[in-house]
Amino acid sequence: MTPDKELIARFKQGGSQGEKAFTELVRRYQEKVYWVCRRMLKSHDDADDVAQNVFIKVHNGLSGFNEEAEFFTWIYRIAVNETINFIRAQKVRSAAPIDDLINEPSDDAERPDESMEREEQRRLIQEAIDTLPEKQKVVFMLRYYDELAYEEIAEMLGTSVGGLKANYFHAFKKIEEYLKLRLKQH
Amino acid sequence: MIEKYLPDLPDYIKGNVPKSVAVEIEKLIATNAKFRAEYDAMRSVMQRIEMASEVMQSEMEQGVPPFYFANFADKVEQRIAAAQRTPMERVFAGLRRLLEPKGRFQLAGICAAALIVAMLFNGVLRLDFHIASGDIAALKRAYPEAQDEKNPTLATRVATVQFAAGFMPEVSLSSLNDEEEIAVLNKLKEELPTADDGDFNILSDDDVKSLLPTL
Repeated sequence: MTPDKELIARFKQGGSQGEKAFTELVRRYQEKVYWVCRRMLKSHDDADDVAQNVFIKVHNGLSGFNEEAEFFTWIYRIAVNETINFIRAQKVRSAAPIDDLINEPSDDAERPDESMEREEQRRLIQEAIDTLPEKQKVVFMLRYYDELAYEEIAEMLGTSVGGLKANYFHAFKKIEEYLKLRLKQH
Repeated sequence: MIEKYLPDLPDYIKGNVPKSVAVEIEKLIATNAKFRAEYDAMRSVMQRIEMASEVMQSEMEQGVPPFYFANFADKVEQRIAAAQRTPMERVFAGLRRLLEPKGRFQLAGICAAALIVAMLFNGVLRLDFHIASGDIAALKRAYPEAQDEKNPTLATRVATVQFAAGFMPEVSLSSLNDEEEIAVLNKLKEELPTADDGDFNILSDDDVKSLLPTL
């Protein structure tokens, strides 16, 4: 497999070989970028839109990319920032997606009890994650799901490893508190 | 001591801490009740998240269309190429898209709409709007008998002429039936001035034949 640095160098030379090198980089990181966006966004369409924007930004900025830095960290940072910007823009446009406002009857009634319980758990956890503050949520997603090292996340977000560890721990505590609260309500 | 290792609990449970840290945490779990309670609570919530995450991930994966990742790079390339095009290239790209099988229906629709608009425009341009009240009055003066309600046939004929006058010539001719046309022409023939009246000349048959093709 051609190293990222070589592909970036080819891209910087320009021409059709440069574009081919860029396509190779897209193929290499498209799934990772998509899932970073998708886990923080509510729909595939939103994640698709944001993931495409990420690669367009990468294309526009790759000529000035410092090859000493990790390409992977750089592209993740763009993905996280694009996703956060998208969420902020969505919040401004509407408080909740229309799908959430329409309480369509689900097919839960036909599911076995176990499935219903799992579905209920999933819904509760999703709600709990959604209530996390923006930074905690990003740290939680990148560490828990993408299993990135604290050092990588720190480079992406420009914060200290100690601060990130605290953010990660508090994210779990907030989820725990939310679940306790919801169980009391039931 | 507890505060130092609390933030490491999630990573310890997932097995992501160095051995030295794991040893310290295990000591605290064994000796400190408060730390042990924190550990149990954290493990419980992480298990619930783990279970829910499997369902969430599976649901999200189901939402990804088939061949999505196979086509993703092409979509990105198309968007980049579109952003780099000059205005002229964008126009040509738009035309090319219309000529593709998917765009042909759009092209047909655009052509049909343009044709309808052109026909309407042409029709409006050719409409004769010269139905002034003066024209009607002149006709009534020309056929004073038309006011006579006792002569309904003539009144009908005049009304026909008035009606026909509202249309452009070719329409008015086609809107009268044969009988009405003959009646109107006969009446006009009676009323038209002759050469003896002064300013007007009646065209001979030869003049009419030579003029008609031109008209």
